[in-house]
Amino acid sequence: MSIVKLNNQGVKNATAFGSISSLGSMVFIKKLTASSSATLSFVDGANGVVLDDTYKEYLFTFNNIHPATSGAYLYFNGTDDDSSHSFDVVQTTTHFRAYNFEDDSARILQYLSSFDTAQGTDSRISSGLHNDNDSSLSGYLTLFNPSSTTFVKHFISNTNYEQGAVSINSKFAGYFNTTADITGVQFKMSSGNMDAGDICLYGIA
Amino acid sequence: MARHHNINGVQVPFTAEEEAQRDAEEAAWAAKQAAIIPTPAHVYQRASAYPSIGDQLDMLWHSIDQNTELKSKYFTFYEAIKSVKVKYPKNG
Repeated sequence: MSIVKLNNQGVKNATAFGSISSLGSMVFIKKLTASSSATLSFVDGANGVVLDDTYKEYLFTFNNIHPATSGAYLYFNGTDDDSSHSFDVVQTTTHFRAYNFEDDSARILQYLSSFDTAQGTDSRISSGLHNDNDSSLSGYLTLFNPSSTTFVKHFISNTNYEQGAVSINSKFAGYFNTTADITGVQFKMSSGNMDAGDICLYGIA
Repeated sequence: MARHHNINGVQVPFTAEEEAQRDAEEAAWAAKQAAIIPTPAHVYQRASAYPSIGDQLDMLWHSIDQNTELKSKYFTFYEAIKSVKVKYPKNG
């Protein structure tokens, strides 16, 4: 079997490429921008938001979430209501974090039981964020198959944030312990508003 | 200032009931935060600076190895570690 090598010259001289089908795609659905907002919610079926069986996987990206209140956590909730949208679906989650001081004086890998949730709501995506002007959180959360009526709904989040001269990376994961379909999700701070930042929703096909 | 939701990009004011509920949540959160005793920085700094537990135990073993009385006093610990060192010698 011969080996075909691709080099710069080959790419420069190419005039056409063959097509590749069934690659899948990441489809932008909605961007919510915080502006002294108490909550940011994505609810299926209105204002262009899709959160149903159209996609088996949904990605939320957090871009520079900035809290009004120092020390407040970023919370995550879900709803399985079609109309009232009370964000109270029971979750079980884990949360661990790694952090490093800016002055390089300490670095820690830490599991805090107070950060996880056992059959509760208001799960913590992050530990306390600072509200210094340059402090924020960025990262992402993936929600798997929210419309399954057979399985619980898993989610995994990876975020990084600045907490008073400390860089913290939080790994948060768990599931909505329900076989009802999840029709919406909500993000809010444990206290105070989200002053700024945005959250985008994508569908993964 | 009245709170609002951002639902799918639409600003929705809190109801009076939601305002009262959020006030209660924030008060409970503030009380919980006030009860937390922050971990002093030196705790993390020391934890990061100490040798690993394995290295600390190895230092302890070598200290015992230098002292006949300690070898006898901590016989079980000393012999348990020594038997591993004998079984897997350096350059063995």
